[in-house]
Amino acid sequence: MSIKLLPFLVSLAVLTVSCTDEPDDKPTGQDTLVRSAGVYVMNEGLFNGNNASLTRFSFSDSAATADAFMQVNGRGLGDTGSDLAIYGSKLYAVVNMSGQVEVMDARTCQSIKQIPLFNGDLPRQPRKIAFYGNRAFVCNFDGTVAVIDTASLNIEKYITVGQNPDGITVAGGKIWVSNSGGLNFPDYNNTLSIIDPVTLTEEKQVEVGTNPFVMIPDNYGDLYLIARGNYSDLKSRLQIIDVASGSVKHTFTGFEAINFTMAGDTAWVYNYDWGTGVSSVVMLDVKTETVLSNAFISDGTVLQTVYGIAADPVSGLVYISDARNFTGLGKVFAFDRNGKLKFSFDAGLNPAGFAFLNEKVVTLER
Amino acid sequence: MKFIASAGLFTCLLSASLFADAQQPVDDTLNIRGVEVTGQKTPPGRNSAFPTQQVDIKTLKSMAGSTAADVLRNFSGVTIRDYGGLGGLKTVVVRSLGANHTGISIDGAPLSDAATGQLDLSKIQLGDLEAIGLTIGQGEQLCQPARAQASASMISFHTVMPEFKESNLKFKAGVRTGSFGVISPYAGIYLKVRQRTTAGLSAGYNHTRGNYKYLLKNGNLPDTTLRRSNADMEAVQLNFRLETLCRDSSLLRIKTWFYNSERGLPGAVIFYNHHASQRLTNRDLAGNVQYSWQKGRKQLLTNLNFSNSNLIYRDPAYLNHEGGLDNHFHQQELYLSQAISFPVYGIFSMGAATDMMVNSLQTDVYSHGNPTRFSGLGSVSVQAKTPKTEVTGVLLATLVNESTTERNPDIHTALSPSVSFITRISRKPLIRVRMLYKNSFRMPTFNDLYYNLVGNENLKPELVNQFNLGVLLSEEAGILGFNFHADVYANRVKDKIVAVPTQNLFVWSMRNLGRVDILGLEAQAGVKAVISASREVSLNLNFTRQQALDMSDPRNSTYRQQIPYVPFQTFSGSLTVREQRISLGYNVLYNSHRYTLGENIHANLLPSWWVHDVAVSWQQSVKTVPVTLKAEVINLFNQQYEVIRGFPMNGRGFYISLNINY
Repeated sequence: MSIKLLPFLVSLAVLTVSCTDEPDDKPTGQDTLVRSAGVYVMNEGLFNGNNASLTRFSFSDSAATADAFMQVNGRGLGDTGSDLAIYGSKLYAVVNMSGQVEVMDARTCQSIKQIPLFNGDLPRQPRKIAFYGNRAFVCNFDGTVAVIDTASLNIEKYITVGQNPDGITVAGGKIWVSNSGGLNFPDYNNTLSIIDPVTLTEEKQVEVGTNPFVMIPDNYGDLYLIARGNYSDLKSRLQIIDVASGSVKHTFTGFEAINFTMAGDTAWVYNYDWGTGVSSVVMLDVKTETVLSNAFISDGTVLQTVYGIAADPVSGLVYISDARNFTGLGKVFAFDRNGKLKFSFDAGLNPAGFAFLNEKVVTLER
Repeated sequence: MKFIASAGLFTCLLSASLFADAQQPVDDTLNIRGVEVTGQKTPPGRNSAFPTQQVDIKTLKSMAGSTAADVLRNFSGVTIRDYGGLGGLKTVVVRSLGANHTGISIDGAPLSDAATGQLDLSKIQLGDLEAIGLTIGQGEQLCQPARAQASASMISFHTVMPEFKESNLKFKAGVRTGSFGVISPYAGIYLKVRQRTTAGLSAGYNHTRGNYKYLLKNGNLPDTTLRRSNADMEAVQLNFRLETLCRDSSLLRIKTWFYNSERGLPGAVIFYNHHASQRLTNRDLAGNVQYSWQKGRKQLLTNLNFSNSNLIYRDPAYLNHEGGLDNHFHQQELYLSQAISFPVYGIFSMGAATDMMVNSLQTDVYSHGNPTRFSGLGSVSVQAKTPKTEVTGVLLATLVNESTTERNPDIHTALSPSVSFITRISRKPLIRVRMLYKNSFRMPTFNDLYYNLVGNENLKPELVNQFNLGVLLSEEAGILGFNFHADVYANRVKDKIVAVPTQNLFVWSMRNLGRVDILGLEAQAGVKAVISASREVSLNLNFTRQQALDMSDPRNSTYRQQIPYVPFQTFSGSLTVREQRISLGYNVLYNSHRYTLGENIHANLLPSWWVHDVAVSWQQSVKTVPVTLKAEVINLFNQQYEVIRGFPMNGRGFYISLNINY
């Protein structure tokens, strides 16, 4: 695979500069710096294609490795990748149609364990993953959340939630699950399930917008949520949920929102209008809950089909994936906070999910 | 609308005057035979301006295979989209145009499915067939339904009544059985009711477990042998026909067809998940009344069709709150066609046809209510024919008026011209040159337009322009007959209807997105040696080279790349030897590598394959009853291959069949 990096490719020096902006480094006699080592991209692949794959972009050589999982493990990841995350030293890939959570060493991609999520011989269709304490929580389209011990990697139990959960996160010390009801066209669901991480049971459900999807908490007691609507008269919107009460505080009606990411006080929200083929990215301040910019990309970079977004708090970069025409290889673009393109690299088929590999660098006090 | 109405009136008036003429009794057996099987007695393809291929019953009998798809896949320019399995779905792609551009007819009456636009060929068993043909453009006949002129290409199936010589009662019975739980008995009874009236009733049953082995390949892991599951199928077919030959040599034929099947859909092979539980049930009832008459260059053909089909798709593993999908599609079609042809002046003849068709569908999975589509088609053709040269021009007008229970009518009209030309440039050896231009389109199917979430009611028809240039050569020397033809073609598809994901991979939608430019070369050569009435050897070779490039959007990485599932080369060869009571058929089929997606990269590559089939049959009369015993080996060398990614095909299989004709 050819790797096309833009000429003004970011160098490690630039990265280290941006790293020092982060509040993470705590001077305690010696400096511990967290530095970006690489980015993993989950390429969803295409349904029935067994072609979900991981692209690994490494900062040390500015090179993208296609199909990193296959290269290391000599087998395919499976059919339709749906989420990717790093927790501790492990990389977790959720593979929807294959019904698996693939657990890997985050540095090497070496598979540690493949966790099948089946109900008898019926695949549960895992969708998204979140972590709390020493547990991973995976929501499945069959209306359950699998609780996985991150040390033993065994499934502890399945918690019943609402219909076709399609998002999971941790906010206010609870596990939040978005019940999309996405397979019940046209009667989508509009609830979030709140799970107590101690008792491992569903505490309650709260009502939000129709067809809830991705959720990300901010630092101010709010949970940001995409409610996808019904793909018809009910548009896909970004909402703010009050974590304490579980009620909808605000719905942004000025723009459509398909997916978003957040880092610090900033959120980046994208929309792709498939009717017109126009992609747009809106930047928000989550502290003031106001729109900072309606057109984040400021250097004229044109994306064909925005398909995924993630901000890396360490490097300060915003990664946006482009699925192009969905049947050819996609591309990933990395922008700085001012919406200027820093670099880009080729990804696999339908790149959607990101995980950031950071490394700790210890330096002596001067 | 005006055009169609006047064309309709025109055809009817002309028909009336011809019909008056038809009342004069003409008892000419030769003439009768000409009417009985439309243009079948002279093997087509030899002198047609339209690239034509045909296989007759003798060849069918000596070949291995049991469905129409097994035969058609050997034709040049044809790719069968085969989703694997013995009961798997099979549709036909001709010259890279997409299955929706291929029309299908049985005995001159077109068949269709408005929901998918494609007919599943696995429904058609070889039992009753007399011949299978494929024509690019339209049939050579001037007198044919307008709908038969509307497709880019046409597959025609011909069935026939047995000949009654000494007895007024005839029986046919047979059974085929073999690998993967295949059992298919078949029986028919045919009666000469009166001097000129015959009736036939036949029934067939089909059962297969379809649980064949396949190799699962996953990276560097050792290949594992698995079995396909949920691939079983059970089907019943009933046919009834009644034919009356009138005194004026016209033929009235009434046919009804019933088909009922229940099958599992084994689905694509998914890594780490072997669950398969989707089921498909089909129940079709169809009928055709056909009246045909011919006298010299005057011809008349009337068709009345009705069909009623029920399709139920169940997916118990679908994770909705009803605990699975249970989708119903109930379709009706009513079709009426009147076609005529007549000499005008000297070498000129004319043809005209008016068709009217109503399709309606009731389902639980469409947005915007249940659709009804009214189609009116009118065609006028002019032909100039000398012993040396033939030129035909056809102008087809189509009007489609479509509405749903929740939506106002939407009207689409189109004019589709075509011109064909053939001329002889040498008498010995006989060499002809042919040329064809044809413009056609396909309407978006009901599923394209209305299927929940996926459908897009703003779709435009998909347009096709075809150019063909060919040379035909035939020569006979003693017992040897040789024929060869080669055609080059250039096709362009505009506003190609494709599915693209919209917001995520679970929400797809249909769009008019593409343009495809196709360049192809087809060559066919046949040698036949008729040593005596009972000894015959024939060899047939087909070769196709195709380039079908996606020209939709220069920004895409798929731009100027071969479109998915179109092989660069295909080759087929068949050898049949008939020696007294024994006949041998050997068949080989090759498909070059293909790509499963628009980008021609290694990850999307499907490897090439060769499949060899062999059949031996032996005929013997037991008392006076002719009995045929046939043994077949399908996929002799156990090639492991896929036609569609994730759908492995069956390996070697052994079959034996016994047929009685009395």
